[in-house]
Formats: sequence, C-alpha cells, structure tokens
Amino acid sequence: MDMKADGKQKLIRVFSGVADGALLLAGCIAAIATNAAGATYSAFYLQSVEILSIIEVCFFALFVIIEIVSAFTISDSTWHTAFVALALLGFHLTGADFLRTMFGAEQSIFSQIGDILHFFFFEGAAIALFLFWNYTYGLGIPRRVLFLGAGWALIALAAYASLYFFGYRMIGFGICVFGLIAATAYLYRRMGARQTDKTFIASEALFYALAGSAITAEACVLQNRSPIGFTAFHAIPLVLVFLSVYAAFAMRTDREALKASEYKLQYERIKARALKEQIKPHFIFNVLAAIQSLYRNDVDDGDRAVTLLARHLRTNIEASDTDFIPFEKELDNVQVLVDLENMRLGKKVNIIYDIDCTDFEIPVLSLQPYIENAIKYSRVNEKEDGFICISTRREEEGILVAVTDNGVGFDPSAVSASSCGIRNSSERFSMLMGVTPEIESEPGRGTSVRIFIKNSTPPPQIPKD
Amino acid sequence: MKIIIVDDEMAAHHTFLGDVIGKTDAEYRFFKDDEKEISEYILKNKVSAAFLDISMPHINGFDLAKKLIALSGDIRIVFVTGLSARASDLDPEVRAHTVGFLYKPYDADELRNLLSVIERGAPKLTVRMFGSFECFVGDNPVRFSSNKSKELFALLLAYNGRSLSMTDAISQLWPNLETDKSKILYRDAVWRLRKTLRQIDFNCVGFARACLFLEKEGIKCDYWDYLLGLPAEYGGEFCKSYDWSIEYLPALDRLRKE
Repeated sequence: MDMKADGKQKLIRVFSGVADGALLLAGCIAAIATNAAGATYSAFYLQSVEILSIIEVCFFALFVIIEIVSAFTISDSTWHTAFVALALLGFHLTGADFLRTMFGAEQSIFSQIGDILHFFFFEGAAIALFLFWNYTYGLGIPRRVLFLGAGWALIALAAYASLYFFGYRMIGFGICVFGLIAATAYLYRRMGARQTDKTFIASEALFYALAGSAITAEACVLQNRSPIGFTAFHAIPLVLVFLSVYAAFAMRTDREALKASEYKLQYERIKARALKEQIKPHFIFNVLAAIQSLYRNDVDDGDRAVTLLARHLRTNIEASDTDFIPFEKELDNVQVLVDLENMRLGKKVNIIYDIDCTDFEIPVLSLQPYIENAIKYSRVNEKEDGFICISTRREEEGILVAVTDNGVGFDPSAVSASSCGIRNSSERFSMLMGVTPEIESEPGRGTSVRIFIKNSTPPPQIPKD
Repeated sequence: MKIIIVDDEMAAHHTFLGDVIGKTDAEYRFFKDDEKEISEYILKNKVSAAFLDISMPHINGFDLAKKLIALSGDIRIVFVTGLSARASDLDPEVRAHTVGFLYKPYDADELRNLLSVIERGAPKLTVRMFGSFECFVGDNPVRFSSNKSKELFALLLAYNGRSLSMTDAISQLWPNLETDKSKILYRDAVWRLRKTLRQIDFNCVGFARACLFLEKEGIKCDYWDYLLGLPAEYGGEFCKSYDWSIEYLPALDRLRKE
C-alpha cells in the first residue's frame, strides 16, 4: 500500500517536473517561431495579433472579476489569486502588443514606460503566486524571508528601470531571475516534497509559463528581434493554465461537496445510534426499581435518586441538539452516571479526578462509555483500593485525557468489538476531531484509555444544511 | 416572605413543593396560569419571589416574568422547567431578576438553596469547627462529594486566611502516602471542593497551581470568632476526627483559660 502510494507520488513528481520544463520553453518556442519570419509581417498577421491581444486582455479582466467576486462571496482565500490575476492583467495591458494595438506608435514614450511597468507586473504576479502557495499550503514562511524577497524584487526593479535607457536592462532582469530561482528552491525545500495537489500543479505551471515567456521576451529584445506578436502569443499558456486552475478547482469542490454530504449522513447515523444506545431501557428500569425501594427506606434518598435520574435523562436528551460539549460538563454527566450506578449496585465505585485543565470540548456523550465500561468490566468496586481515575494533562502539543482503572483488565480486542458505546464514541472522536482513543488493557493489571487531543486539531466542523 | 408558584399542572406541585417550602418560614400560594388573578394578588401583597413554569398553555413563563417585574420592581424570579433553559436565553431585564432555574423533578437541596438566596440575598456560609466540622448555607448542611474534600476545606478554614500550599495540605491530609499517589488524591479533593462550592454558588476559594486561597468575605466561622474574642462555644473539641486538628488544641485551650 505504502509502496504503491510512494510510486505514484514519484510518478507525479516526475511528470510535474517535465511539465514545468515544457512550460518554461512553451513561451520561448511560440515567440521565436512567430518571429522567425523576420521583420516583415503580413496585414493578416498584424490584425490577428491585435485581435488576440484584445481577447486576452478580456480574459484576464474576467479572471480578475471572478476572483474578486468569489473573494467577497465564497472565501477570503481567493484574494491571493485575485492579486495574481490582477498582476497578470497589468502585465498584459503593458505588453508591447496591446500598447501597439491601442496607441499604434512603436517607439513612443508609452512603450518604454510600458516595458518597465511590464517588468513590475511580472514581479508582482510572481510574488502574488508565492504568497498564494504560502497561504494555501500553510508553509509558514517567516516574515523576514518574505521581506527579503520583496526587497530583492525592489532592487531588481530599480536596476531594470535605471539601466533601461542605457541598454543594460538585462542586468536588472538577471537579478530578478536569480531571485526567482532562489525563491523556487526555497519553496520546494519548505514543502519537503512537492505537493501533488491539483491546484498546486496548475498554479505552478502558471508560474513557469510566466517566467518562461518573460525570459524569452528579454532574450529576443537582446537579439534585436522585432517583438510584434510576441506578448500576444506568450500569453496563451497563461490563459490556458488559468482555465485549468478553474477546472481543477471545480473538480475538487465537486468531489468535496459529495464527500461532505456523505460524511454528514454517516455522522448523523453514528450520533443517532449513540443517543439510542445511551438511553438504555434496562438501565432506566433498573434505576426506577432501585428508586422504588429507596423510598421505602428513606424519602430523602429517594428524592435524590429521582433527581439524579432526571439529570441523566436530561443530558442524554439534550445531547441530540449538540455535537460538542465542554469537557467539564461531560465530567458532570459522568459523575451523575457514577452516582446512579453506585446507588443501583450498592457498592461504591471510587472515582478520582486528576484534572489539570478543562478548557476544551469533546464530542457529546463520548466519555461516558469508557466509564460505563470500566464500571462494568473492571470490577474495581470489588477491590479494597479499586479506583477509576479520570485525568487531563496539558502537554506541549495538546491535551491528554486518560481514563485508567486498576481493575481486573480484559482482552481489549474482545470487549471493544462487543461494546457499541466505545466503538461509537471512538468513531465520533475520529470523525469530529481526528483523534483515536487508545485502549490498553492487561488482565489483572487494569485498563487505560488515552485520548490525545492535539492543539492543531482542526476546529470542529460538521457541515450544516 | 411570600412566594407564588405558577404552573398549569397543579397536582405536580402541591405535595413536594409544599412539603419543602412549608418547612421554611415562607408563605406560599399556587396559581394556575391566570394572568389576571396573579396580577391582582401581586398588587395587593408584597411578594418576594415567583416560581414560574416556562411552558404553560395561556402564557409562557418568560412573558409572565416580564409582566410581574413591571408590576413589582423587586420581585425575584425562579423558572421551573422540565427541559433545560439557560440564563443566556433570557432578556437582560428578566435576567437581572432571575435567581435561578429549578428543574423537574425537583431537587430538594437546590430548592432550599434557592429559597435561602431569596430570603437572605447572596448566600452566606456558616461554618462550625468546634465539635465536628460542618458547613451550612442558611440552615442546610453543605453536602461535600468526598470526605477528603471536606477535610481539605476545614484545613483551609483553619489556616484562617493564610494560603494553603499543596505540600502543606498533602503532609497533613495524606501523611503516609507516597508523593505521586497523594498528589493525585490532592487534585481529586481540590476538584471536588471546587464542584461543591460551585453547586452552592459560593466561590470563596481561589484555586492556583499548587496553592489554595480563601476569601473570608461572607463566611461566619465559630473558630475565627473565638480567636477574635467574640462569643463562640468551644468545648475542648476542634474539627473532631481530623488528625491534624490536635495541633490546634493547645492554643485553643490556652485561650480558654485566659
């Protein structure tokens, strides 16, 4: 299983690397091919370049609108891609082809300022992409590294702009490319291995298409090649990659929506079962019978028992309205259960509370089954110094909740399979919190249940209708 | 002290509530959910508190509470309910007048606590340390959830305002146990004490890491009175049955001779 997953990962990595290289070259080849004809262009060629560049500007503008609208309506996270799209729009608006289409003049001051702005937007798009990765994949790049990157980009821009009119702008461009290579290397190291997420591969492709076409553009200018049609053609891979990002995203959200609804259904089923199992008819009737005889001896004892039963029923009925419960409340519920059991069984179960912290939540009715189980199987109440200990400890990486007893112990595989309450609780722990309770038991030594709730446990999320 | 109880199902109330309230010096009267009759009674009598069922056919308890508060500015409200309700469900005006919630079936202790709060305002704790240790809210003895948590509270009171460290508490309460075990038992006792105090709504103990503090405000303790020279009956016994109490006896005896 692991071997297979490893192989697949490797394959995807290789393909993604090849695709990166191909995209890096795609802009170059497209541009060089279109310019190979030399300095003369047919009217048809010029016209189609104009139309193409206008269509592309429309595309980029559309991307910007989509991203900004979804930033407002769907998720804040698309602000990052909105900036990518915005930078690409600027990059294209200041491209030579679009400027020529609009202003006609080839050597106007517009086209020179346009070149500098073009470079500025190129850097902007690259930085926005890096920020997008940092955010989306939670890379946690330290602030000083981000500032270093921004500072480097500014130096490159200053060099490019100041040397532009002396014909040495390649130096500024070189500084920028060096920064991009360093940033890419840093990013990959930060990620450990390359992510195989579809959106990452698509946006990575965007980055390489962008970098590849810009490098080629500068190279062509250096060789005194006429740049007509160049920006218009090299924008094609960018548009395609953007579209593929949407496709990947749409596919992913579709699948996730389906998964979420299945998840919700499954969870509801498990919870309904927990509620049904928690209100055990035979337990209720046994308690009622115990109350009946308590009243014959002492009315106050009877009253107290009725109150306990009412509390127990109330918590269990209330549980249907909620998924999580503050830990302290669950402890109160446990105490009620223990009091009821003590009353019913006549022999007291000794519970020890070794509580370090209670400022966290757990799935409702999730601790009770372990206590019930301990009362039922451990036979701690038959032992002189028998106890069930509930403890919580705050540790560096999370909170450890443990239920231990010094009873007779059992074979965990035999009981956990037969105890629906425990299985159910454990299922909800793992669905809601990504936590697996570990049960260890040794015949004669007692049983311990350890539930480790990590700090990074994602906030509880049950899809709502 | 006059109390009214409003519920559409009368039979459910008479015996039990009457039994418990009848043992206090409160005067009580039952009403069905007839707003007119209740209003008339409230205008003619000085009613301290109203126990209102939340769901009744003619008017719900929350709305009724609002109307009663409008009629009598200092009336206190207790909501009676079969299911659960929280203070956060109430609007601020009603919340300010609400003393608490009483769940069906009734808990006699809880009912007695509520009555004592209505009668005396904030709960006061009366502590008896001479003889055997006992605490009372009003006339009701406080029920501690374990003997050791009760003993821990007694020790803290005997410290008379000084903070009690975990080491001290352990050496006095569990002198013969190994450290690890006694620490766990100490934490258990602290937890239970905290629960008990919360239950009677009298949070006089500050719980810090490895240390307990006592807020003496609102506590009447015979031992403290005796130390101050106020009248208190010391008959040669102090916190009977707690081993550590012996150390206190010589000083107390000396004080008695003087």
